[in-house]
Amino acid sequence: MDTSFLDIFKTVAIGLGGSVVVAVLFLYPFWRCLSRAGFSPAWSLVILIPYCWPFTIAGVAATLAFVPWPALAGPAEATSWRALSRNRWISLPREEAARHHLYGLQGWLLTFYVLYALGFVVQLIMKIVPSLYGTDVDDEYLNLYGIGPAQGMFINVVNLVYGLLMLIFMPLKRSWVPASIITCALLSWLIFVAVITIYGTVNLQVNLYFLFGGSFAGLYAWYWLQSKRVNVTYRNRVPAAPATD
Amino acid sequence: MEGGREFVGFLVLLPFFILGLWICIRIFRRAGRSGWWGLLFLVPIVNIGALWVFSFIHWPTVDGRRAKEVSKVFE
Repeated sequence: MDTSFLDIFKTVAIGLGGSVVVAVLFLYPFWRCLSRAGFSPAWSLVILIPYCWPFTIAGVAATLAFVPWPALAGPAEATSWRALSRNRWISLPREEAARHHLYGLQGWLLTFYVLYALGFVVQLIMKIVPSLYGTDVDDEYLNLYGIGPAQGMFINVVNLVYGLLMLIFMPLKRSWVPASIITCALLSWLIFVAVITIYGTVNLQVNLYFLFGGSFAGLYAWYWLQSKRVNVTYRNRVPAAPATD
Repeated sequence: MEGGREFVGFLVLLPFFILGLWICIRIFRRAGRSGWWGLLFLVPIVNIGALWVFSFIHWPTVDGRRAKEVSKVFE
């Protein structure tokens, strides 16, 4: 079954629309409940991952039922996740943050940038000069995931666009960059899962690819939320405790 | 035969209903509300509304504690 590029785009848009409906129904109340109980409300975002919503509902319910609530322990200032989060970072003027030893595109940030740049160049070469790659990319997509050339092309274009956006955003050092990078990483994985699930063959091996991809996207998002270097460089705030990189 | 299969299905699902109800009652009681609220979560569609209501209503154990600590500051 081969379909046009536009058909795939429409189907993925409908799938993502479904995720938005689930988000509207469950995400905000879960966010509020976890936050009021003193947990990180970001856990409720797991509900956006395809197939994960039953586990998220069960996980949130079990956490609220059996894990001690941080809001009921500790001083008054620490009664919500927002307050706890505020206490962990000290905001600085941009000029002062630029003098901090963790400021700049270095360390893990630079490693990720170089890896993304290499991945982007390799993917681009594979698309422009397929013979250099040695094997037909379309055949590989068909063998691995059971999808046709239009679907493979769609996934490639999405990866290239998001990869390019990440490479452009990362050196900008603005406060909106971390959220944009996390969105690009999660959306490229979500679209990959959606296209393979709708048009391809989902077997154990493909499910493992989904799991590894999702785990990597989740870890990458966590790094962009929690890394001291990311917070100093993009959000101009330093950890309240002494930093060690 | 069909009725028998449905009964077996009901027996299989029953422990999950009881577990879900127990979890809901625990959450409401930890928030300082009556455990009877948990029954709402067994009704389809109503449970989504109940979740929204629960996320906005007063939680006596959490909000009461915070109010007590704030009043201490102003004493």
